[in-house]
Amino acid sequence: MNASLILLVEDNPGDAELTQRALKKSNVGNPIAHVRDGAEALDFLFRQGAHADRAPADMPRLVLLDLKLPKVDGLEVLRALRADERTKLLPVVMLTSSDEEQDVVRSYGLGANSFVRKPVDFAQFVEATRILGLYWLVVNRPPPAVVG
Amino acid sequence: MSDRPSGLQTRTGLFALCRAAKELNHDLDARNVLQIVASCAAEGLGADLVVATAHHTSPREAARAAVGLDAVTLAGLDASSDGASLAASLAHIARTATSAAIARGARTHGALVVGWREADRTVTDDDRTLLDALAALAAQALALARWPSGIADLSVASDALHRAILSNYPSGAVVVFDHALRYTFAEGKGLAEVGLSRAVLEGRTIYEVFPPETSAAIEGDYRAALEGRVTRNEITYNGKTYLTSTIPVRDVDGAVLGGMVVTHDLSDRVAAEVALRESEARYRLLFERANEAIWILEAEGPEAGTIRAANAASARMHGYTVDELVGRSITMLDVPDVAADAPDKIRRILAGEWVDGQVPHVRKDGTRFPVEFTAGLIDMGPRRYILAFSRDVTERVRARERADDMMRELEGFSWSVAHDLRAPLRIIDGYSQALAEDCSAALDGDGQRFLGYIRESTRQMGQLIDDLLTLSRVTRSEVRAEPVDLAQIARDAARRLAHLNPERAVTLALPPSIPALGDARLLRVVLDNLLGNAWKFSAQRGDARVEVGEALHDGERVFFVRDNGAGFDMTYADKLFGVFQRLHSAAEFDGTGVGLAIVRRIVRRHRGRVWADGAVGVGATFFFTLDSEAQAS
Repeated sequence: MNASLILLVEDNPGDAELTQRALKKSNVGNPIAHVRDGAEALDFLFRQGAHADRAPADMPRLVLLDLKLPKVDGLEVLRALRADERTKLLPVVMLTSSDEEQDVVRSYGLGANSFVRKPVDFAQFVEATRILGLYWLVVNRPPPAVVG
Repeated sequence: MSDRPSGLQTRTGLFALCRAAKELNHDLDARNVLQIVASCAAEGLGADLVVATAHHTSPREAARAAVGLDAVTLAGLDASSDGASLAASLAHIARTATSAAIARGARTHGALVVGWREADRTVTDDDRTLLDALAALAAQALALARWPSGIADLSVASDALHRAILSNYPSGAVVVFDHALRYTFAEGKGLAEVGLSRAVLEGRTIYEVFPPETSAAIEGDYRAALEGRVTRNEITYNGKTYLTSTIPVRDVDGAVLGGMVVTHDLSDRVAAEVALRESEARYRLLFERANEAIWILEAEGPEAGTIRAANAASARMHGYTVDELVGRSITMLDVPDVAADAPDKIRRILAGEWVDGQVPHVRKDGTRFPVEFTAGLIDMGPRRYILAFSRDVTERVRARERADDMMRELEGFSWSVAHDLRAPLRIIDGYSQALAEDCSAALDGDGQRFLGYIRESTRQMGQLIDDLLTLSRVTRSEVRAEPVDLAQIARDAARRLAHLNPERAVTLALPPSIPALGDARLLRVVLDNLLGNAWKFSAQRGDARVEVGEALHDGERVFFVRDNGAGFDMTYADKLFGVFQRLHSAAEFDGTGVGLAIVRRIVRRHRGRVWADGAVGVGATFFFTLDSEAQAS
């Protein structure tokens, strides 16, 4: 496992850059890998397709997963991760615009570790990102590495 | 035996015998003969009671006479019995008795019985001699006597008859007639109703009483009665309906003494029958014309479930005729394997409960449709049946499906609003700030100000989207009734507000607990909004105070949130709760104008009311009630 890599799964490039900006502003200095849809996220995590030659040790420390994604949506990605030995313990934070109760319930039901709604106000977003980074990258003890 | 009896030694006996011989002349009827004999026997033998009976075979008549016996007991004696039997039937009043047959040659015509109340009265030879002599005189006299037609016997019994009439025929009349079709007795309030009376009838024949056409009309029935037959007729007279029975009156031997006409006023019964027929016709019409299917089913036993009655709607609904349904089992309409809870429902119905439900049914052509039913147990006489009403709810089910579709669409729409509308806003806001931070050197004062407007507007729009989503969620979500503590919910809301506005010092006054019944999640939204408003509108006061509590208004529990803030003009009180209605400019107080609309919708969904009271510069109080019945129980 890469000690510090964060995988950001987000289809909107503006949103992705904004999230990276917020992470940077909240002093989260970890490297960030960005994929644009659910299918690419699965390729990346399972080292297949375009990511077939990625090193097994490159497993991210944290996945920031949007719900609404092209090709394979966030919940499908989550289901696939939890069904696989290599990723079933991987910390996944749902990072999304929605706070519909059914989305929250289904995400937790499929094994999400956390559900964070992105605030419209950028200042609040930066604050949310800071807390998120602090908790998942500093406070939280990650699961032991599973090398597939 | 016309000779003077030799052994008779008492003077009394002798005198009695002489009197009998003297009085038994030839111009007597049978009853007079028996009366004379009985009287002389009582006198000559010193008896407490005497019974003399005789019968005649052609015409078949009977007569009785007695001393010391009441008329009813006498009427009950069988005139054709022999002396010993008669003595036995009088044993309860005559402890000692003896009798002699009234006979001529080998033929016995009657009996003479004498009795004494003492148990040990010795019947002497002298007594026997006198008794036999009197019996012989009686037999001789009877041979020459006239036989009356039973009038006497009927009149003897008239007291008993009278009582029977009064007690048994209060709504009609009874008349008795003899073989000559002469009325011997008439009684009953029904006589006056048809213009007759006892005085008019008694002692007169039907020919004397009635005009020829009437007497001719009734004569046949009367004569039939005298021949032993019963005739019944229903006749209408003077607007009333009578049941008349013309019946023979027989003596204890079965001999016809006369006839009796009993009339019974049926008018009330006829009217009741007409009313019943009309009512039945009405209900039948209701039953047959009802749009709901109505069923009467066998409730118990081997034929349980058999359709005993079904109306046109039942038949139409299922594509059968009524005849095809009646007599068959209701289960022929069931969709196989669907009615899993049917046994439980039937058990509850048999226990006396009225049960509702919805089941699929099959039409004759095999198509299926949903049926809603109500069924319960009814008693009809000694048997119990299931009465069921059912209706085709295809349309309702379709409408519900349409509503469900619309709700799903609305949910999809809300989800899109939540997700897709907020995402661009976030980016606008984020990059506005990025511009302000990263490119500040390239922006002059105006540019910085414009960016500020952009950011303020995006923030407002974000809030608006959130509020509208809440509003739509409130409409969609189900309202639970659970015990909640409004004081605790208000304290939580106040804590969040204090956290968001750390610079504000607001005094919060509320009781330790305000128990209520409602949906905790939704009531949290109500108090968030009301306390949020109170916080917001009291911002310009240094001594801001917010009170939450409950009160009784006309016996109804009312909850309130009161502040001492900017208040509002009561003129506009009705505008407070509309969507996007604002009474203050955004410059004074920010807000989307949706909050109170949310509050009202939640309160309404709790079957409550919400209203406000206030004055500009003094403060505002928002009242609300929750389902008062639920709160009371």
